[in-house]
Amino acid sequence: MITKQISVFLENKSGELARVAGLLSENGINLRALDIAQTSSYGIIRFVSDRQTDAARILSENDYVLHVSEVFAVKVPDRPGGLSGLLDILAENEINVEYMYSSFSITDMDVAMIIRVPDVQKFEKLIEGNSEYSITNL
Amino acid sequence: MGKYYQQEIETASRDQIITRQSELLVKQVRHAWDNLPYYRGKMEEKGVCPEDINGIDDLKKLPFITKNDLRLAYPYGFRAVPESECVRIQSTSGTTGKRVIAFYTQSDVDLWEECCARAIVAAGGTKEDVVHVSYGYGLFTGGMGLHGGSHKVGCLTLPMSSGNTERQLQFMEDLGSTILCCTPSYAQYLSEAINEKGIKNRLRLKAGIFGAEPWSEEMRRDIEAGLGIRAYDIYGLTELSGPGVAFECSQQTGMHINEDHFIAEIIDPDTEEVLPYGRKGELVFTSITKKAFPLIRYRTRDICVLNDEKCPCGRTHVKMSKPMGRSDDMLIVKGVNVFPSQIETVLLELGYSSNYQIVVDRVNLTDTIEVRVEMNANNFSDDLGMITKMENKVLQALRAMLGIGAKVSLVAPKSIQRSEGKAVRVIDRRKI
Repeated sequence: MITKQISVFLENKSGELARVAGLLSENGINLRALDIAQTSSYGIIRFVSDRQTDAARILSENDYVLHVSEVFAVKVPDRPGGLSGLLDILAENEINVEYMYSSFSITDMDVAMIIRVPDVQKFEKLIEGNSEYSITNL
Repeated sequence: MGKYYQQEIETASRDQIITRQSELLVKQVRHAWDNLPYYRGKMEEKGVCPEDINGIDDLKKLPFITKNDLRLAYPYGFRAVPESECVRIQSTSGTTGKRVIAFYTQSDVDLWEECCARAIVAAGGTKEDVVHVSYGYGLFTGGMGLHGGSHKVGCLTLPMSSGNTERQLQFMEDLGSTILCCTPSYAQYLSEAINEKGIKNRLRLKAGIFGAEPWSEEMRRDIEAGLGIRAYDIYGLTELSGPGVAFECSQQTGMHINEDHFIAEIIDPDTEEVLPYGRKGELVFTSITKKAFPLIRYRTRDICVLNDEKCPCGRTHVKMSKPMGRSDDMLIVKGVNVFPSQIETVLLELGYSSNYQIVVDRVNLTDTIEVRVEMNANNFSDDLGMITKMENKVLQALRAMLGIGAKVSLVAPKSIQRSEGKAVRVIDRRKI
């Protein structure tokens, strides 16, 4: 299953991120994973929440430029080697990761890694055929 | 050589000047009619023919030429002599869209250089002087114009061109430069460098001739104090010849227009009505001696005031004030003409919206230009590398279009302030 991720353009100024978080909070939307990539003057926040369709609508209504992309949330055990095992599998199969970040914990034992890859189908097939890792939703 | 380069002309009586202007105007209109089909078309459209022009009082009957006409007629439409008669071109700093190529016969070059020679002599120059020309050389008229003028006066001429400050200072010191010619902002920059190095007392500079960009009285005082010289203003346009259309004398209260070559008018930019001396309006020039590129009633878009009061320096030619602004939206940044429309073209071509803002400032004595562009859905993705790549594309396209580097800032949508629904396109923070 594919996870819809929202990316939003922000200027790199104080208060910009607070405004987005505030809008989501006012509307009772709960963040499940969040990542920030930035230059000195602007940045992108990428996030997954419990109500992505609503989040996208609310941000658009407030004049944000956003982009919805398809990513995977892969359940990873919260212990040493949990992530490296997953990355080894991807490397062996020559799957390049465009970007990746961690979700907030999904259970006491696990987190999810949010992963963006170029070849969605190949990735999905690979993980589905693997017993240690599984694609989850947030 | 005394205080004038061509005393008889520079101190001619008003009657003599008007008589000469009338005679030359009649000839020039005939020359344009015979050799410039484009301008002839404009005259016909207005129902004027050369027979209607019998003197300077008839000038107002003639159609104006605008920069747009020059663009439409690019590149040969205003060349009025065969190519074999031309010996030179110069060009404005604009881009393909707005670039103007001006042609010169040998006589055009000579007359232009004489105008520059008058400016040098008015600044106290004699053949004993060492003229340090730090205007750019090449298509830009600044370097070539003052260079030629300096030759005419018989000065030792240093064709330094712009840039390489270390070398500028070394030549200034080793060769004892006495007159500096460059843009006022570069003069200010050199002044700082000289004072930082503590070499001011080893220099022989006595005067400077500065133009090609707007500058204030405050800047003049700064430069004069910093370099220990007198700083003179000079005015010109490539379309008319180059620097030397008008120049300052020892009074430093406006620039004498070389009226034996150029007829100056002031018009209301909206109604095109001719205004009397003393009124503020758009400066319009008719070149009456230029053969290869004769412009009649050329609208400069510079806003200024003409003054025909008697000047204590003895020159009788009318004086123009420093340009106080523009009647179009052209900006002069680092001596280069920049039109907001050029920037808009680049942005639209690259898929950005037309919500942009241009911020011009002067930081450490150098002009800076920043273009703020609103991010839009077209150009946004979740890949920061892609956005940076797009940003660099804008950067390169702007550099290619403008000829100078601009900073690009991507800003949030709808973050550029709008006044009465219309965006404020240009913010000029320079104190000039």
